[in-house]
Amino acid sequence: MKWLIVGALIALPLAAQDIKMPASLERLREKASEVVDVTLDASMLQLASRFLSDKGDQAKAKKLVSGLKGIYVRSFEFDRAGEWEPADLEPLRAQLKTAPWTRIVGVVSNKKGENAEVYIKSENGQITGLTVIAAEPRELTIVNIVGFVDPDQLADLGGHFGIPRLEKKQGQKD
Amino acid sequence: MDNLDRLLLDRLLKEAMRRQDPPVGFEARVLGMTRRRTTSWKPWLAIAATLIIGGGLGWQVDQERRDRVQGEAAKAKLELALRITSAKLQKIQKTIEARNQGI
Repeated sequence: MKWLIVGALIALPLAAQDIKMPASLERLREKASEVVDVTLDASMLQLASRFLSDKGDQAKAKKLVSGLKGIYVRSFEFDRAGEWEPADLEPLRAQLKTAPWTRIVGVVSNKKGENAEVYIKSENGQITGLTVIAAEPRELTIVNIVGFVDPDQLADLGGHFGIPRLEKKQGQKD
Repeated sequence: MDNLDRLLLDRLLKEAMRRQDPPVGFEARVLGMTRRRTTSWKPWLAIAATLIIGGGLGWQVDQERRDRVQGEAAKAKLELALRITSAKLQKIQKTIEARNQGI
């Protein structure tokens, strides 16, 4: 019983991280020409949120962030294709294969060698996590968002922060 | 206690409680001591208060500056993370839409 409590206490911070970035990805830092590493836990998000304005673009981001517990981004750019291997992503995919994660999008382009996957974590009918894997021959990006994610709010960020808005055609639904 | 004793005691008490003028220079000495004490601790108190208030204000300003720097850095990271996420999701959405349209 004592060990069960100790185990639970150790597991609590790990649960807050949601998925764990595997060592295979961390090793890619050495091969990549450019690395973006963003780690924002709940306290950092709260701090960042305080510096976002209540008007315009930043107000939308502030609203989106209010329900989040963490944002973790790893993006690698390589000088040449073939610097990363599909096997590097396997430990990550293994974590996403189990419930409550569900793959909602899987796009494979053999011609361009591009591969994109979107996984959501749903609990009690709400999206409580989002993971994006975007793989290109010379670029690999992994995004993990922990917390309540409103897809509409996320999509609404288009047109802000320098992101081009994706125009919807008339009559087209989300 | 007989009458003689009572008279003696009475005289002694009167003698002891007789009004006496202070010795010459007593008032000046007392005032001098008070003035010396006043001039000795007041400047130190003022310096200490200035240091405490100044130090406190300095610490607060420094803390606010650090908070602002950390907050601005966190905000920049957040904007970068949201930009990357949104850009990737839009690209995926665009690919799906293109496929649906048979492009």
